[in-house]
Amino acid sequence: MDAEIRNRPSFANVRVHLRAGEGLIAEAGAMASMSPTLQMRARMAGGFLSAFARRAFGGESFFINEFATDTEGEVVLTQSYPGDITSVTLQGTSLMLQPGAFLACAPGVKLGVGWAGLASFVGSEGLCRLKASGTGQLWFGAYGGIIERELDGELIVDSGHLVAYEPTLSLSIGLAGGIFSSIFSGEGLITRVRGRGKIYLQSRALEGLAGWVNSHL
Amino acid sequence: MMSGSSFQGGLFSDEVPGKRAGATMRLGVNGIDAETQDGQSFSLPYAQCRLEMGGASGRMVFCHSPHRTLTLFCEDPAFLPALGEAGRGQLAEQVSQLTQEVRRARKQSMLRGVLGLLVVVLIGYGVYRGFAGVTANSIEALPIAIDEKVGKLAMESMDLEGPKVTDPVLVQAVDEIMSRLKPHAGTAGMNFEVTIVDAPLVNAYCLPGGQIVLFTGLLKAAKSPEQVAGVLGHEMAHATLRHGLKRIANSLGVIAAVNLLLGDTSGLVAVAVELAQHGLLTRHDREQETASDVEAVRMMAAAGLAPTALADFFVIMEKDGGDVPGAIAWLSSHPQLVERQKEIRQRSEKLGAIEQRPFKLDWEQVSRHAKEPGKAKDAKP
Repeated sequence: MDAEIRNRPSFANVRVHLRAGEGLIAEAGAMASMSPTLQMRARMAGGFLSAFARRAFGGESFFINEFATDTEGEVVLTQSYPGDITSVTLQGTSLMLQPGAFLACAPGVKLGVGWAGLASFVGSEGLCRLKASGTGQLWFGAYGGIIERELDGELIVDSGHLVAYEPTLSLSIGLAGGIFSSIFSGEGLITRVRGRGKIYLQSRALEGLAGWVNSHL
Repeated sequence: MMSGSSFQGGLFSDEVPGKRAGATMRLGVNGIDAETQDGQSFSLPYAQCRLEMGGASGRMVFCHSPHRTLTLFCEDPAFLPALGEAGRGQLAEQVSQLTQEVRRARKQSMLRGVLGLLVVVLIGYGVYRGFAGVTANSIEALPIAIDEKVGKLAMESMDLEGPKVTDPVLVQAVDEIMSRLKPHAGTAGMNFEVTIVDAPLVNAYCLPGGQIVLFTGLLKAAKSPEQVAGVLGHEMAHATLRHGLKRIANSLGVIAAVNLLLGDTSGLVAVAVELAQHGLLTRHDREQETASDVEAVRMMAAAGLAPTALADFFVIMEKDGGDVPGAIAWLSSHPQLVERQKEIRQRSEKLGAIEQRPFKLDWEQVSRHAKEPGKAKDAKP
């Protein structure tokens, strides 16, 4: 399998070239184009309960698309909003993805739902996360550019900017400053990320755009 | 957990590509042995192991080497207890300490969760009360004409449950009672009109604007005109305190408050008709019932009538409710009679002695006519 992320960072898309016998799993609706030599099959990821959990708590689709071929072919995948796409190779490791970030993965990657905690819910980051684990390549996207950071300590992230993180990191929600500062600075709640591991941030927050557009309507 | 003392986890080390890898860990005699998928092997002696708990789930166990050049981690719930037993209990003290810390952290987290929930509930209640206050104030600012319009439409859409009574004895008796009460109504300019309906229901209700419906069943059950005056005063108070409109506005919620502030009453009228058709417009909450009782006591005293007559009527309902046909109607729409009686008597006492001017009505005659409106025959004087 060869893959290339193109048109970065604003309108990134992934072109994946599959050889005979190879497969690819992608988020429903992510396919922009595909070779006629590829077969696409929609299925529930990991059975009904797992698919339901992915849909209800992971912010992803109930179905995923599985691409396979007996010869070779390519598929182009995109996300529904403008922004960058990146990939990581899992080697028996895991990655937690914010709702809506998942784009595609190799068949060796298992998709599940991990509990994010009430603090995450209070911080508008959702109750659960999509947890990708296993072996193989994983693609995910963001709104705006993607900032990758190797963390060994603590980092404060504004809510809505977190895209993905390794499960070795712990998250807690707090106020950006004092109560007065938090309300009037426009920062509100922040996410405090602690520990060792990789974290992926997006340079723009979709909620920020929505708020800005709304103020002009 | 793999098999025996093997666990699936991962490790951080500068020696592996990407500085991290998934790994299978085995608890040996002297330390933890980890092997990555690429076959790289690592070993961390128990004696050098520093344990820590954390990660996204809060349940991940980290085993650090002295300078953190190697960190093994595992989320398997069986990993921590197994570490406590491994290596002849070398890590037992750290495991015990970590377990206690985890328990403490969970308790604190739960406490914070409960407190957070409490704060959310209190804020929600505060916002609700705030909007209720805005709605109530907006209602007070509306002209009485709105009440009359709503009451008229509601009256037209309601089933009266019996024919209207024109028996002059009953009409004159009720008119006399109302003429004593009207000058003392809390809101000036409200046109009170009583429609007597021939039905065994022991009940009365008042629609916004002062449209009162009084059933003959209540006239039969009452032992004196003062008791009927108490009930009518109570119903008039619902209108003067604008409970009906507030009831409608509460059904509309936040939208009502905003619309009313903007002067839009169309939604209010539409909901009034809807509620009236379901018999919900005349159902009031405990707070509104008490407020109407208090206002009725004031009106009765001002009209030279004993305010305790209303409490006496409640006693009849309470004692004879089961025997009086249709009494269930009053009891269902006017709950907590015992407490309300006490409240009425206490407030009457506080008013002190009043100069009473009882009605000079022949109540026996009224009761007789209430049994058979338009048919009862009176003895010639």
